[in-house]
Amino acid sequence: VGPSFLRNPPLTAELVHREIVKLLVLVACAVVAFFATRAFADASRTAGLRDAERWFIIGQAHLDQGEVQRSIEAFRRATLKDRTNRTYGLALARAEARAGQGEAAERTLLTLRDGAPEDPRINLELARAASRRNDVPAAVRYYHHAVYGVWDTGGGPEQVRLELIQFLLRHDERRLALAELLAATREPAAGADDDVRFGQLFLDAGEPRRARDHFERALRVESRLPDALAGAGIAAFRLGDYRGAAQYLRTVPDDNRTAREAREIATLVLASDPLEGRLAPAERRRRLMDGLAYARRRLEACQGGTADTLAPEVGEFEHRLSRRDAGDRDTLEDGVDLVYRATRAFEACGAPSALDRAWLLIGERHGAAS
Amino acid sequence: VTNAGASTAEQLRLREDRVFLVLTIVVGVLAGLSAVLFSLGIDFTSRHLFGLAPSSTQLFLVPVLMSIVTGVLLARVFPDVRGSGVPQTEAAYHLGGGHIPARVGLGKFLTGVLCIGSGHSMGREGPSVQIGASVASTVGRWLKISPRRARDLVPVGAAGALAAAFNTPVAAVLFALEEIIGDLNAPLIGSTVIASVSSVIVERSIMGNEPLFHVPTYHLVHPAELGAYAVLGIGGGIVSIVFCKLLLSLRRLFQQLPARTRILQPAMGGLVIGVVLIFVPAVMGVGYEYVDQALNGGLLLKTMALLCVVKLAATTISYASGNAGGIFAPSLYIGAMAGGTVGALVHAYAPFPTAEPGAYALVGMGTLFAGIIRAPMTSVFMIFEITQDYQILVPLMLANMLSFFISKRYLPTPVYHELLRQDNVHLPAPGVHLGLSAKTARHVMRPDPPFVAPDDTVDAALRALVEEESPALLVGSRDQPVACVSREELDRLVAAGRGREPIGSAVAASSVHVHPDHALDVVLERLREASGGALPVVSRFDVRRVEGVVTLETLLGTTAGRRTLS
Repeated sequence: VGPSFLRNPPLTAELVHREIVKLLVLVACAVVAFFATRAFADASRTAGLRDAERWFIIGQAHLDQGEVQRSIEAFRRATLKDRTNRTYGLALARAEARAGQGEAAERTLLTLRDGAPEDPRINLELARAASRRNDVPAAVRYYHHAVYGVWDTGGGPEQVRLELIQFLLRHDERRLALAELLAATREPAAGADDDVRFGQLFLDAGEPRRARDHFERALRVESRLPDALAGAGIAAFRLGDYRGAAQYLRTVPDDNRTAREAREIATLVLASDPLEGRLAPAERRRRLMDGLAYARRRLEACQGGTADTLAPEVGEFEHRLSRRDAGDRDTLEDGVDLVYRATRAFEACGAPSALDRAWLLIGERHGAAS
Repeated sequence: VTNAGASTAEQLRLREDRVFLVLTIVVGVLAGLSAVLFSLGIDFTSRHLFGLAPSSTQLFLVPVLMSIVTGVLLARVFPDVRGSGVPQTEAAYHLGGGHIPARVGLGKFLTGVLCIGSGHSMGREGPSVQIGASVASTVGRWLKISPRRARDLVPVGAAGALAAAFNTPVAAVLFALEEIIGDLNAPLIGSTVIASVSSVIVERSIMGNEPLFHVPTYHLVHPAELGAYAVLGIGGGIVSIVFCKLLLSLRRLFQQLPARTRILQPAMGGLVIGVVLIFVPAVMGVGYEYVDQALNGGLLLKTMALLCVVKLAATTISYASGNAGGIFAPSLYIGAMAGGTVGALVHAYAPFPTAEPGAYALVGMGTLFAGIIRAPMTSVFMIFEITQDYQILVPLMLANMLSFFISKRYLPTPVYHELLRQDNVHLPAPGVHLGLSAKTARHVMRPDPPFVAPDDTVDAALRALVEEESPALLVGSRDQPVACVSREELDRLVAAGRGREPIGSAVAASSVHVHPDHALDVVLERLREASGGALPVVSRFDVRRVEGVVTLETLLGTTAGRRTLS
């Protein structure tokens, strides 16, 4: 019939009551233990964060002293102590990349990215890692993630886009670079320097017309800006506007080699072209005669191949021209065409001189190339 | 009155079920808190003893000095808390009715924090399991719940503690079922799940939802990689065997030292660890930060190979010298390093594309866990819970199973059970579950048999037997019986004219024995092997303690209906 206490309701009630009280005491103990443990855990976490910060500072110091391997160790400890701080992870990845541990750096970055795929700094570092191993599609993808990421500071996306454009230009991806450039210049540039930078990128991307627009815009703000003058001159030169080029490049210092060469060639074009506007017939004849004489001398020095067949032709044309006036345009154009073809033939005999390049441009300018 | 009494009894039973349900939640919470506190305590101790960048002197002196302190504690105050805690918990569950005193939990907490925090190469999960189980057992006793329910609380507490210690609730449930209870189909599955979940909720609300390891997504890159993972599984099995054999041999060596050195043994281990830490500080303590690095490909091939070997040696020394700490974390550490080493080699030399070495480190963790701890399901789910990625599951299962079978083939008894055997505790074989109505050795034995000294004559032994009216006697001392002899055997010796011979030389020494819970078919089989026609029945808790004897006569007496044990 069961134990005796079951036949004693007050005793049963007392047992049940005691059980409930004990359970309540246990629950109360658990609550107190929970809060005590949480306080301890918070203190421990704070100490861990402090340790992480100290390791980060130690790592930076090692890095400054050039001890990259030791800095990697320190940064790694910092990341293990504080996983939430992405600055430590980025520092680790950069140190690994600096130590030539590209794979490790990329793994670190990918792990970081798992936790924060929207972080532009991580994506930017990943893009740089991909660019170091010449992986254009991956680099472009990460650069785009970086551009469209959530930036804490202003100006970040623009800088990244410029870096992307430079990367694309380095890898001869001109069309992609141009698309990025057009996106980057949707908004007006912030100042003359930005216009110069964009102008230079357009030049590199093979868009001299847009480049000149940017350089000229910069010159409107600062008329004597050397880079803008040089850029505008080169853009004009590439567009075939040799007079404009010569004008822009007139005051550009000689240490800018491209500008100096462009100025020299543009000046030669302007000084040698028999079909240049507003010239007296005698001057046109003189220029053509000078061109033919130069071509003949070069052909004589350059034996073999096309040069051998062109030399008598040039001599004959020179002879014909010496006996009559060169006032008609057809004769001038024929002469320019002949000098152009002769200059093309020199190319087999060595690097073209400035005058050679000038005559090639003169020929192209007047349709000789076609 | 009769109906009312029966109804009240039924109500009380239902009430106990409800109380048990509430208790599993409370025990889960308390076990989780104890595990979190234990982990924080280790971090706190380590931070304060070693600081940010410890000097060589610190690395050497801290383990030595702290081991002297823990040596005194382990020898004088808490003698039952050496080692991992998992085998002790198993023994308490299977043999001790789930009784784990609060003192054991407290001692394990204190000595574990000091040992692991002072740099010993040991894990925190094993001690957490024992602390959690001790909390559960203490709560059960305090509430005066039925003995069966009190016993059931032990795996519940163990699961709760492990879930919080490792942040893997499913693996914790499986571990409690697979390792502690020894039966994946145990009816306690519901209770362990509740405790595990409540524990993890508590742990995450305190420590945040951060996983223990940050692992990138890994997957099988090429089908041929399965071959590489199979090699890892075989290698993992071999390393597991080496680890277990070395651990058991070293521990046996320490046990064979004079008893008075027990107080100094942890310090002897501390001395070796101190020297090791000067040269390889990366093997200090739990070492999960280095496991994390291996998983993320942050360690070089040579470093991983070195850490694998040094950690293995350091852990066996720390454990064998009697310090308090587990082998759960070291097995993961060694596995990660071994896997990372294999992975780095495969990645460098395989003629097919392969995953990063980190993927192999991850699989290696499970491989060593399966080989050493011998809980293959737990290891698979544990790695799965860490990565939360199905892609790595196939190579993981392949490597784990290979490691498990190799380890089982060459080391039939799991290391936890072998450690208990070294302490003279014999757990029942896995899968042995007796029905309540089944007859066992306990039911057929003759309790309190007489003992005679080995130099007593056969005649004297026979006289003692007749006086005691016992079917058999034991030769030797109570602490060390060397043989068990039946009356028939003694009669035969006397008839052969050997009555004056010392009984120690007349009968062959034999170690064949049964435990009280052995079924009668086992008893009959062992009886056939016994040379003296009788079998001693010894306690599982201490195989040196004889509880009774079994002979063919006692066996037949029972089967004929005569009770030998009231």
